[in-house]
Amino acid sequence: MIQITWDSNRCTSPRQCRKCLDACPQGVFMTYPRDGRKPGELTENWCVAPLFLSLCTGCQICEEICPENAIALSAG
Amino acid sequence: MCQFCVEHGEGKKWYLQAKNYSLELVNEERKRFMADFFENVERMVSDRLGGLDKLMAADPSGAKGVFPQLVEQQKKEHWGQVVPLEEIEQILDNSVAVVRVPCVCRSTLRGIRDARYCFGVTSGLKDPRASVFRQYPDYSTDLEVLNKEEAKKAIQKLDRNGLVHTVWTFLTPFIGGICNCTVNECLALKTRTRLGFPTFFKAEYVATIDWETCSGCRDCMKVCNFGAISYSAYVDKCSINQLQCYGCGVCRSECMRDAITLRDRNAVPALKNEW
Repeated sequence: MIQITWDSNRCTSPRQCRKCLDACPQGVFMTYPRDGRKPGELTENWCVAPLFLSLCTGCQICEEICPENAIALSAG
Repeated sequence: MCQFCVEHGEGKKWYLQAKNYSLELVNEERKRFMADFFENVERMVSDRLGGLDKLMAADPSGAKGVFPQLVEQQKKEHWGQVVPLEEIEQILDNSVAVVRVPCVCRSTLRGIRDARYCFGVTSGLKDPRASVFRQYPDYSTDLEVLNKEEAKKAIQKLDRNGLVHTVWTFLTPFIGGICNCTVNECLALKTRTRLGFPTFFKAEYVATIDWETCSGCRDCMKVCNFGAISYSAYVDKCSINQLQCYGCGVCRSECMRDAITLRDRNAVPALKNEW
């Protein structure tokens, strides 16, 4: 099973960049609010995480496209 | 008719039954559910769909074993149905006002806040749900109020762009919204077509192509989100796989020769239980 890790120290503005979200041909990724969503506030801190991990083929397009090298694939 | 038509339609298709849009259904429980939904949608998606995905990767047959109870939970809380354009227009005709809002699926999958594909059918500007929704600026900042004609025009345009129209419950049978979906940007369509886990009913219809009229141009194939259309080079015509068709009708809208019609799914013996 392929593992995908996302480094929050390297990826600081996922919703501005969005490269992995758009580049993945399988649509594996999702974004979610790092600290949850608070009523009355716009969410500012986001994470990227794999949602449909079973669809990942290990093509590594996400690793290649990330300008911050925040994504790493490893064979499980 | 689908299960919800039988249980909640009272003689009509459930999504054309006015009671299922009634504000009387927006009680404290529903308001809390909706607040919870908008506050925690990403966590719910990650827990349920992500959890299901992990389970399927680790143990496909075991995963299928838990489908029935997960489907039951989804059906109670948040379930949808594909609805063709003319019936969406009927729903809009019966509303007082319509709000257009950002789609949570596009936010989750594409990371964008301004993809306004969802339409809320409301009873007017003092709709009590507005106070729930406005708590979440991520989704309510781009809230626009449209009149029925504006809403219809907007959805007609999305229809011509090949988007699938769907209605969604928030604690069934209350229908909270209409969305316009694509297989890559809609969590429900994606989960069903890629993981095989149903999150909505197909439409009450199924499409078919009249070969007398079909010219074999294949424009319909380009818009089908479900891969239900194939081309026969031998006869230079397209065919729709009725078992794969969801009855959305975008192929019909695309066909320049009007070769495609939607038939009642319930009138086709092998399809009346195919939801």
